[in-house]
Amino acid sequence: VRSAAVLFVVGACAQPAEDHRDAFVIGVLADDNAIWGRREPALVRAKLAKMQRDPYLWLRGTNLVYWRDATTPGTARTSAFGSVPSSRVLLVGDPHPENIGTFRLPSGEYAIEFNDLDAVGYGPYQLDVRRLAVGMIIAAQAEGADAEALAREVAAGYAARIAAGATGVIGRGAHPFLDELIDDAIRDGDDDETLNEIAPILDGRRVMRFGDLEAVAADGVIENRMLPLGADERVAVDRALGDVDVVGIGRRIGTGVASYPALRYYVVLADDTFLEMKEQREGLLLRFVPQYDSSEWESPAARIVDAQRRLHAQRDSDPLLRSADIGAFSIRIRDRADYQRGVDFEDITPLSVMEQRTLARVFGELLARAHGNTTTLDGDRGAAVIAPLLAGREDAFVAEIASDALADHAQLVADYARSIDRDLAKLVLPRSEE
Amino acid sequence: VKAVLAVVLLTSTAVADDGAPPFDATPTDRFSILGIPQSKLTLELEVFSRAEYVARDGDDLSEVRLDRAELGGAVGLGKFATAEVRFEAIRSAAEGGALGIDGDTLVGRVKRGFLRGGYELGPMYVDGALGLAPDPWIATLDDMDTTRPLSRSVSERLLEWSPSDLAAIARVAFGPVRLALSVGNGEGLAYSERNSGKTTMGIIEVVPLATADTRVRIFGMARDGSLGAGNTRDHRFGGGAAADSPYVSGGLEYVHALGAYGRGELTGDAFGAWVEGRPIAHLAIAARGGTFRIADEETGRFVGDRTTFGAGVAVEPWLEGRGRLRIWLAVDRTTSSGTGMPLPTDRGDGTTAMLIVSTMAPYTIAN
Repeated sequence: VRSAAVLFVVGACAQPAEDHRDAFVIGVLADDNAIWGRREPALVRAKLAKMQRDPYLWLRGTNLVYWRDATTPGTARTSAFGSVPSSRVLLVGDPHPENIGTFRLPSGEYAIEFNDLDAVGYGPYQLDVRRLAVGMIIAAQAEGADAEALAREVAAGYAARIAAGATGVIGRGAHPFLDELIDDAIRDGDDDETLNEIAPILDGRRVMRFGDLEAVAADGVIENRMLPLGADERVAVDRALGDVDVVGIGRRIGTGVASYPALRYYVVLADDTFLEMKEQREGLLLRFVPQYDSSEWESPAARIVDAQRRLHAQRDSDPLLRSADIGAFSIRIRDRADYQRGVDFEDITPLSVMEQRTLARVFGELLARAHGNTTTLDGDRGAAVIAPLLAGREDAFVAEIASDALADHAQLVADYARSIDRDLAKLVLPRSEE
Repeated sequence: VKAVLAVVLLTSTAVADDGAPPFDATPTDRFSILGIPQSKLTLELEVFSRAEYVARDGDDLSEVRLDRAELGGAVGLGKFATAEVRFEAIRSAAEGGALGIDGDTLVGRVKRGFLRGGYELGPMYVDGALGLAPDPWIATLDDMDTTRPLSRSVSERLLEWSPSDLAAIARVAFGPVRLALSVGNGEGLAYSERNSGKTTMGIIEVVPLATADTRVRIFGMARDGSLGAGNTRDHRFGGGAAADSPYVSGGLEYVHALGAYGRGELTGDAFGAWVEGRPIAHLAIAARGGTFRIADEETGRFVGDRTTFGAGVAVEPWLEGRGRLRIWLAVDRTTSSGTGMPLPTDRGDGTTAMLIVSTMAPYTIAN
């Protein structure tokens, strides 16, 4: 009788696994967008529509889903290459290919580095490697053996660079695709392409353009809009900028995916310096970890500035990088000149299979250099805590990353397939903002 | 069930037959700080602050934390109703985060705010509450639990069960038995309602033994719940018991969870226990522990756990009615597994030594 009663109760509560997954994904998206959903519901609606366009954009908008999948007790795949010290490596947090780009160094040379560190924080290094591998598979639109080969290359490059000491600048000569990216950055930077688009020179001086610089897309996504600032907003932004000679400021809408609804200002100074000011949120907050009440950084932007300097080969890869506050908002300020140019995943898709694989290996090396060349939460050098775990076991590490990344990829593709043709905003936005 | 009913009936009969003093066998709890209609105003200050040292692999942590600071006030509204508000201090940023108010300031928030009404209806006592009300299950577990400064209950700490919810609650007590029914949002303190489903919970509580210095309580619970915008399954079934005597107190809890941590596919069983001995005046020795074992719903296979256990010794320089001041020296150990990578808590690497000062300071103006 007791067994029957238990079976009855459990049976009454049972739901298909797919329903549980759907509820989880919607719940995480709602959490991730809860504050923006109240403040900027129209922009969250556009963000969700943008995510529905393509699996790669879905990947960009679901970083929190990945991390919750990877860290909730009982739901994650275990790793044979972890240790407690290596679970406190400074991570990029969202190391997919479109978060990689060029940086013009003070020497005039160019470096390839991670350029979006919004999610940066401490955690287990393997999870960054998996995330990068998944991003590479989706960018390449690879399937089957090709997908596995890409993940293996990311992991192999990572292991090789860790073994080599995880030092050095990755720049021109690392890969033809990246050489072309650098060439494009120099061309656009010399031409001030974006600067001229948003603030063309009229009668000898720069004048900000406002309005839709590109047409709003059919799915309602604002692609490129510049908005003038209200008087109070302008005062607050000027205060954050400090003592500089500003000739124009506008709020930019249309950039990014995960941070699409964030406050983002484009600032033009009298000497044609072109800055971006971007609202920052918390990064990786792993649950179930004994830790201090507060982080070591005083604000999210301070976290990103410090992390960028530590994860890049040269701390001064962006001399204009700094943090500021605008009221309650934490703002990162960076050089927005076109010399800093990001990878576009659509440029990876048409590459040959061999080009994609060699590029995946370079990206793996880049991630290893970032992890290995800075200190962990415990103050150890990243490479010193990771290298002993991989030494002599590189093949097994490569196999584990490939297996896990393929599973992550399959999950992401399934999540994306369920998302298309749905009114995500109705499910995700706070009820009052639907 | 038969045994419980037999104990209840025997106890009630014994009291009636031998003419012993009518000890109040009505179930109590920490649902409200103000009995109806015993007083005009009651204030209650509850503070747990602690200095702790966490030993783990890698660098250890040490810090002073304010674990709990609560101020509650209740006003009697005539003979049948009270209005109660309770504030608590919390960190404005998420743990480990930086985005708070004015840095990461301690800020106050409303933990509870509700109206409560009660009425004697013949042999029954009927009461109810509406608003941001105490969760009846957590209130039931917390009643008599003198080890709360060491740790919250397993339901609250490991299952992350909110101690309050926007809900309507109705209860009826008949002799040593009480039934409670709660219908609420299920989102606790963190959110307003995020889905159309309501969280419904029923609790039965029995006091089979109530004498001048000994009290035993047995309780059971079932909850049909949903969480978040995704309507994630959040069901619970459980039970427990607690006993109090002059020298020893203790309690047990068990919860079967269908859905946990915002994931409907997780299932698991949570067990918790606490015991406190008071061998001499002004001294208490306590131990407590609990675990939440997570299983794969389809296979029933164990896939991970969160466990906490600890002990402490306290001196009690002040004790007056419900008011007390205790200074604890305690240790707490946490472990977890199944997180997919070695987090610092894996393999049992989180041991915390704590110096805790806990106070319960009620103040009442009688009718």
